[in-house]
Amino acid sequence: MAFVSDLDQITRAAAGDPSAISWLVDRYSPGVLGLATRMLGDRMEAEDVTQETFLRAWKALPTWEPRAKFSTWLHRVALNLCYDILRKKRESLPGELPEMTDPDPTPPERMMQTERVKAIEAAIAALPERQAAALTLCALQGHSQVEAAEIMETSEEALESLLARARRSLRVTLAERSVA
Amino acid sequence: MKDPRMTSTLSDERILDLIEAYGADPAAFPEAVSDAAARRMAEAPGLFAKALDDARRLDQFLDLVPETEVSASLRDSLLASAPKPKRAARPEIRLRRFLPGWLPAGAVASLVMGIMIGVNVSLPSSVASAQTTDDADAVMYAALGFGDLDLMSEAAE
Repeated sequence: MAFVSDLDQITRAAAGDPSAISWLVDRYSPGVLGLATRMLGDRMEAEDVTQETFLRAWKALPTWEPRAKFSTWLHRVALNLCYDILRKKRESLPGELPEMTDPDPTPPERMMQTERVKAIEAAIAALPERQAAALTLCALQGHSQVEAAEIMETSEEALESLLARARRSLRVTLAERSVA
Repeated sequence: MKDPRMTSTLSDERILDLIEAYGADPAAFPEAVSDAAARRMAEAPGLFAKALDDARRLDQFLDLVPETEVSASLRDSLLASAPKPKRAARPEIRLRRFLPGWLPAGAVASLVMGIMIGVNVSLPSSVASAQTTDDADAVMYAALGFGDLDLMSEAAE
């Protein structure tokens, strides 16, 4: 299959080429939705963020300049939308901490995998938002350190620090809940 | 590009920091240091065993987290919000190729003839027969209601 770059697809999508539009949606919507879901812990809100992200992308396509990778730009838009939602939630509920789903108190040896998944998802959702973003981008979605730092508009050193703190917090939380 | 800070000397402490941040797999480390870190970890496994064990356990949990699937309805709405294909040329424009080439010239000729006939028909005979330009102007002026109507009547006679 011939290699088709993002830029080719973007140019064609801007002209309304349905196959290029489908290609961009299929390639990037899972990552955007995944990031928003991990950040917000709410599927409906995450879908809203995904829609708004792609709406902005469609508007940007005709004047798109490849100063950043399309993927990086798209994830950055999604992340900033998530930050906005989280900030509004904080403002409306001052002092309220993110809710953690209380996992089943069954012993770890009997805990089903789905329960473990729920526990780790809840633990990620309870992380400070920038730690959750760093962990999602690098550990769950496989973005490189450079890409993740660009998406988060931070330095690579700061990203590394966020990742280390996120993983430490997760280990503690999961150990307390007898998951890990 | 390689990070000279890291490739020249990669301390054991630095490798522990990398494991703490990126997990047990050196492939997840920054590209500039991943090879060197993997070599050092293989040389002295005992130094990193505890850190790697902790990191590996967490990595396994993170691997359990499923990828988020995009529902068909979300996909459809993303596609529906996308730019629409540019409209094809209007059929009228395509029809032009079937029209005869002399048509525009014919239209212009018809227009000129129409104007000439119209001018001749609409001019009162008094104007047409006026001897001088001044006479004609006076008649036209009167016809428009600005001058002496008697003059117009007189001229018409």
